[in-house]
Amino acid sequence: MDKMFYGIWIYSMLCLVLVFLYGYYTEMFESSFLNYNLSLWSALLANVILAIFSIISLKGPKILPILGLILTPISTYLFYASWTQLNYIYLAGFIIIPVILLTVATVMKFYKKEPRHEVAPRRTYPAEPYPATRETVKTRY
Amino acid sequence: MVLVSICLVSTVSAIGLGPLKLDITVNKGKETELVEYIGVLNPEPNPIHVTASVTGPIAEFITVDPQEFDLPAGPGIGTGEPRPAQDVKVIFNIPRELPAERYTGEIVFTQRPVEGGVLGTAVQLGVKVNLNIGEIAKAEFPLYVTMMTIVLVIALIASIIVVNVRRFYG
Repeated sequence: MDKMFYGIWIYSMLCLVLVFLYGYYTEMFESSFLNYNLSLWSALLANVILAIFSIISLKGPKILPILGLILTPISTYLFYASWTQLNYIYLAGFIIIPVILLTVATVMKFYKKEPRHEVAPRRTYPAEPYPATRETVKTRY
Repeated sequence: MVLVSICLVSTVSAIGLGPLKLDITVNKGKETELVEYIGVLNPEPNPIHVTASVTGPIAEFITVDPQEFDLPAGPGIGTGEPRPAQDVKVIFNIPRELPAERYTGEIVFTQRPVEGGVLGTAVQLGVKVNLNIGEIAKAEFPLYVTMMTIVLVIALIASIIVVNVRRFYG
């Protein structure tokens, strides 16, 4: 759970950085590599990080990792389509994905039952025998 | 303002065009579809047939609709009566990959003889087209994108606060 939470947090930060770059350094995504421009590769990088965290978190609760794996390709496409088609509806979709993941992860982490530390049971001693008195003690000779 | 040009060939034929020049400037990195109109009119008292075609490097980005049409006989030059006209739609389909350059060309209107008409020769008249592809424009986010970015920032901060509060108060 912790790994997935921090994975989603890192992913959300990367998404935020991409949105700021989109807004202020729009032309930087123009350079292309393997016939696709940088908007695809940068979105893919952020989503691969999310996918890796999702895969390594599959041992625990499965809701978030599966959600992460499903949303990874969608998120990549939305950012790429938004930049290439200059359509901000896609960008809004790209932003809402980390918001959803963050909300679910935070709620799950908040309501998660922390493992209680086992407290050693208080030792109880059997009632002590009635204290011996001079009268009751019989000395055998 | 519409500029109307009159092309005179000998003394019998003429078509009017307006405007005579189209200057289009778009930003690079954006798939753009633009529509402009060119008015073609026939002031001559003879029916004419007009065909439109595009020449030059700009031809691959421009579609003309209709490409062929007939204009009925007009009232003649010098009369104040309205002349038969046809609006030709010029559609610019500019792909987003187009490098930032200046593309030029011409939309040529050819006036051909019509059966039964007086005109015996084809006449051509062109509209010059300049397409300037500028640099990529800085993105201007609509309000909903800005609001969603703010929500994302708040969600990031809130998640850290909530998790730490939970840990602190256990």
